[in-house]
Amino acid sequence: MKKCVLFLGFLSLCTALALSGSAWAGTTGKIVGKVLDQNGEALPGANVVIEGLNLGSTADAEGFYVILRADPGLYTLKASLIGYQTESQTDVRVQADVTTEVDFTLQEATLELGEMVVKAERPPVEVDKTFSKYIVGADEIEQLPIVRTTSEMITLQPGVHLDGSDRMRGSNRPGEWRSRTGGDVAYYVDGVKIVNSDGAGSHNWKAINRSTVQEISVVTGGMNAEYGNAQAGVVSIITKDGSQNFHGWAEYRRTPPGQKHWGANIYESPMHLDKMKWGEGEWQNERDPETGRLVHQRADYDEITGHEVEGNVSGPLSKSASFIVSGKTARKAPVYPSGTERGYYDDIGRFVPSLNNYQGSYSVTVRASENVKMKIGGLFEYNKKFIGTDRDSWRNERSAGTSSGVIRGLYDSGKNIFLPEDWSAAGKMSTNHNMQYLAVTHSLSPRTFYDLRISRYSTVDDTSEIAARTSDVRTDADGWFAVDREVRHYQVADRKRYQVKLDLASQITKGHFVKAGFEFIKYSMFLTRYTGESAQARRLEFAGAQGVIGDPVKPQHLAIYAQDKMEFEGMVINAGLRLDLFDPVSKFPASGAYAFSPMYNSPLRFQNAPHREPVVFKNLSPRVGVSHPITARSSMHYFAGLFLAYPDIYYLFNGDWRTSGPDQDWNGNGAIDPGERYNAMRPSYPIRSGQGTTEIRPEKTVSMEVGADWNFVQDYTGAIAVYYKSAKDQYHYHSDVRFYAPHRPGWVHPYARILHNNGFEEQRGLEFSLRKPLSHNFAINLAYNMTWAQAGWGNFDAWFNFLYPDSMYIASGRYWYEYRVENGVEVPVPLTVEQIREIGHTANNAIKSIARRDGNPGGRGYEQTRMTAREYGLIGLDDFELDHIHVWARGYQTGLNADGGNIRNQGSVQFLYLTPGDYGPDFKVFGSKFLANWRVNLLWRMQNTGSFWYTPPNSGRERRLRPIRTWTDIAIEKRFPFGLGRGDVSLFLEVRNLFNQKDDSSFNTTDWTNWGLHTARPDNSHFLLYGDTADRSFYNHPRRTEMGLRIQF
Amino acid sequence: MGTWRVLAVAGLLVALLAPDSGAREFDRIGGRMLLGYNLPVMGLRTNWYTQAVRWGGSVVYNRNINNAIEFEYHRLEYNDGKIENQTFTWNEDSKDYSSPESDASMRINSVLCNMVFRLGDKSRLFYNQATSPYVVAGGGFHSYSNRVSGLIYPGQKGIAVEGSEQNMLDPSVVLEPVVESRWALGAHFGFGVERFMSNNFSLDFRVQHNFLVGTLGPREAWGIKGVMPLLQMLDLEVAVKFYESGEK
Repeated sequence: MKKCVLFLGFLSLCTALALSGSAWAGTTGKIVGKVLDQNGEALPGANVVIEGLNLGSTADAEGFYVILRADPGLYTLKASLIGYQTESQTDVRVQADVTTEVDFTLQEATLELGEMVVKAERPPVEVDKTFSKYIVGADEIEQLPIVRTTSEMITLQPGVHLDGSDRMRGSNRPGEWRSRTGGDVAYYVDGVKIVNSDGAGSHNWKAINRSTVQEISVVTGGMNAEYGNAQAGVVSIITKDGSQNFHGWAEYRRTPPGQKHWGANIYESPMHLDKMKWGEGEWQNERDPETGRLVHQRADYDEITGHEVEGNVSGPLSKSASFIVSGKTARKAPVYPSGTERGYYDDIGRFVPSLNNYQGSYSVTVRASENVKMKIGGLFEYNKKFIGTDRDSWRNERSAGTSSGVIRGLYDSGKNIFLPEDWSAAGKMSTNHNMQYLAVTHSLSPRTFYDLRISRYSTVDDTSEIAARTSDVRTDADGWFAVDREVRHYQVADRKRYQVKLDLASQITKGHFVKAGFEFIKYSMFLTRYTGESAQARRLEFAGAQGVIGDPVKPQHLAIYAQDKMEFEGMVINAGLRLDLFDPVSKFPASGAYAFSPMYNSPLRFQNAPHREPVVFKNLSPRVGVSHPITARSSMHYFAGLFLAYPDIYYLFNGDWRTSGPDQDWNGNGAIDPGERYNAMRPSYPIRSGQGTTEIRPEKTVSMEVGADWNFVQDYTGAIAVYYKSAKDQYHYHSDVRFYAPHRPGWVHPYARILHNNGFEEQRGLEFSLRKPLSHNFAINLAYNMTWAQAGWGNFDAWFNFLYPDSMYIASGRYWYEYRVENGVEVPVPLTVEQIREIGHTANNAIKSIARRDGNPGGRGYEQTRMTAREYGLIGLDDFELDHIHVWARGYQTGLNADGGNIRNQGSVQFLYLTPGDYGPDFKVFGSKFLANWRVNLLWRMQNTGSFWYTPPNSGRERRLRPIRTWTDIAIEKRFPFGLGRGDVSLFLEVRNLFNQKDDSSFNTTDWTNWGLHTARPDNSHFLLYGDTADRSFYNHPRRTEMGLRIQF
Repeated sequence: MGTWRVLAVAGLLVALLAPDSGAREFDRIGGRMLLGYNLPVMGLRTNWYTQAVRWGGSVVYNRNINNAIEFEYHRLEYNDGKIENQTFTWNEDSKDYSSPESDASMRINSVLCNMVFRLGDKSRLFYNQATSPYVVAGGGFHSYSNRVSGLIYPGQKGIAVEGSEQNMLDPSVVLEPVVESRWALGAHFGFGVERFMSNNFSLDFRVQHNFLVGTLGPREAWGIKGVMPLLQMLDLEVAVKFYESGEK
């Protein structure tokens, strides 16, 4: 907290120094138009202002005006000129990065006439849209309360995956096995990037209360050059500014008790076979001899009421300053018995058992002058839980809870179901997201402004109540259900990102809106995870500078871009170029192979292995989009661009070590001191013992799109887009490196897998949307996306890299394979003369035995080349090592290991109906007509549940689709206005999974394809005896009802 | 054949009942009773069913001279599952077997909203003998339930036969009945013609193509492919429409 205050203080200081005078690039919109008289002649000098924003412009000689840096929202625009009747246009919608055209025709007036007020027509299509983009405003979010989180609203946009997995149009999720990046989608809040490329596959954090969102802009078809390190799209969330009147909004939601999963109560589930013995006194009254605790106790997990509260308050601080604060917390019932019987649904709808949780935001907006807007704000989320339950920290944390006796739940085939409540064998873990930012917009002239954003975003994982050791698994008297024990597991991660972003935007001429700027991100991250898998087996995974645990790596990323939006009569061209420079800063091992050398094969020893300076990535990515109207109500767009993504920092620097024995007490003091910790660890074999890598390039995607928008009738607008994406150089753990240890010539040398650019993906797709904004009391949004996707790895750039020391190296004193302990530290045992002779001889023979075999026979051949490290170009070794370490480089082709491709369908329909405020007979309830102010939301969603391989009897294997899943939610709400419309109270009822749809999530796909079976085979003995052991395995939860109260003023 | 008879009798009855008068009021409500012949198409026809009778009704609201809204309920049931006549090859002896007790049926209850857009000359709407062609489009939910039962389990090892190394298929080992059900979102479009018999009574002929978002799982052992994500069907439909009096 102190650091937050200090940082905010620093931001304020920067502001004070930087300011001498608002819109953020990417977070504000532009209004253009003409002011003419009734004869169509230009009215130079006419003033056009946005009411309430203190923004305006003067028409030039052609009557043309432009207003930059308008915040998203609905406004009234007023045009005036002496001698003419003033004209106002209401409901002018401004959207970020969109040009809104509003023309005025002023009537000449010799007398003082009243103001002419006109309701602005919503443009039928956005003619300046050069790629697929979907914008949701605050009014639409408010009208769709059934969508409860910002993330869920994002998933409903065409092209975005409905499962909340941070994917668009078939892209990869963060940390996906074939793409070890921070994800293919970039998220921004108020123009500040929510950096995720250091989270080891964490999903993007975006726990932003929906009640504070002013606008969400989802770009799926391309990106402006100002956005990068993402291959699929960008989501920009703009939060509300505080208002100049006090406003409040609050919502309470109650979930009644009831079972929240399919099938039998977990304590009577067929999954336990004959192990549950309810009614048998001895079993039921069994007590743990160590603790005296009753072993077989049921948790009343289906009798818990859930509560959730969210709210915000905004108001003035002074004439030019305002604030808004929001918060949310929940105490929901778990779906299954878990470590604690309370928790919350995270931003993508997953239940997280949690002791406490809250999230919120705050901001102060200062409009210092007509030319300056400043916003200081922050976002935060905190949760604390028992270890073993987490699903949103970094990738593998929950695996700690999957073993026996760690935490109550369904892991380990349900054997953990009787573990104590509010307890974990491994202690508690907290996760804290905290972002603070300063955003300043300063107009240098009516047509030029800059945006400056400075931010700090930290994510901290910490563990408390850590057990001293991992004890053996204990069970009940039957030897089946687990009883509590101790598990030593901890996780500490501190990820900080400091960002500066500067954007300069200028309407250079009527047809050229040019933006240029830079974005600089400084990372500071370390991550350590220790898992005592059993009393003997332990695992250590970490990322730290030069292999030092807890020492942060500090990469930096600079991006410079320039783009020009050329708006001509009948055509808009949006072209840009981006230069990325990514510097890992910290040193890398010269080769991951050293982790398997006898000299450097523990975390401590590896720190002394040869290291190299990092490679700085420098990459250009051009993008261009074109749009043009076809008719007054239709337009087309075309886009092509190159997108790059750098690896998740964790995967650049990670190490993975294991041991099956205890650490050694070198100094004999009876304890494992910090300097002795992990000294028994050896590199994990063979999976991802990355130990860092730099032999890679950024992932690369070429994306192309053609789309059309058509306002075909009234306010119904359809959009269609076809796209093609070719992703190459995707990261894949495939190749391996080894170190040949000549003192063990017959040993099968283990290898490390490191990241490599040999993955590929290809997506072709069709996207369709239909939008009808609220009018005539209803609104409809329909989204559908179909993607043909294929992915795989191999064919190019696959290689082995084996290191061989020669006899000179062996004799040089750089090679040893034994250690002894002296004065409490280990020191290498030098080789004897005899050992040098024998091992050196073996080493030279091994090098000579490397055959040279070039060529590519049959398309699946390989080439093997023997050379010195100097010839190979291994960096980081000294002169001696370069000549006496030999490299056996084996390049080979694997063929294209494609997954056969599959079709992914997904779609959603949102329907809104509301009754007007004066609708129906004059029968009133709490002052409101009974039939008036009702709102009905219906939300239907459909998604493919994946694909699988199937081999028909008489042909080769084929890729087949699993069945679809659909789910429908409905919300009914009655509003009661009060205080002459100054506020209202709403009572609402929501039904999730309205039709109780039950779509299988777990079945044998071969049996399903052959025989239509969803359950076990009819001759399965367990099935015959106990029934379907997977009776709860369905995608949708059973129908669930929630009710609540909402108030706003 | 039975279906056509029902349609013909219904049409005749409606024609006989037609009174003769005219009216020009459009803001009024009516009722519509329909009887149709339903033809599954694409994967649903190839793999599963061939025909069904569809019946139901709707409330009609004529918004203006150009269009009307219908709120419709209808129901149909397929009883002629192709899988009932299919055989599977038992791996143990490579012979083909049928499942005599097999049964496949699919019931669909639909709740829909239709928009009717009238075409051509609309000046004589609601006059006796007036004819009004139209296009129709709409959507709604179709609650379908596809039940397959009585299939002999092809994965079985069979029962031992004395004196033979070859096991014999046990026809009593059958798969549990599988029911696939869903409230499927659907859309449809079509065209039709309404023939007015009086100012408040008409005959309505319609052809309509339906799309339902749903899944019918495969049974490839019997040569039956899965159908997803769209189940498609064509309706040939005749309906009688009664409108409230046009005199106001």
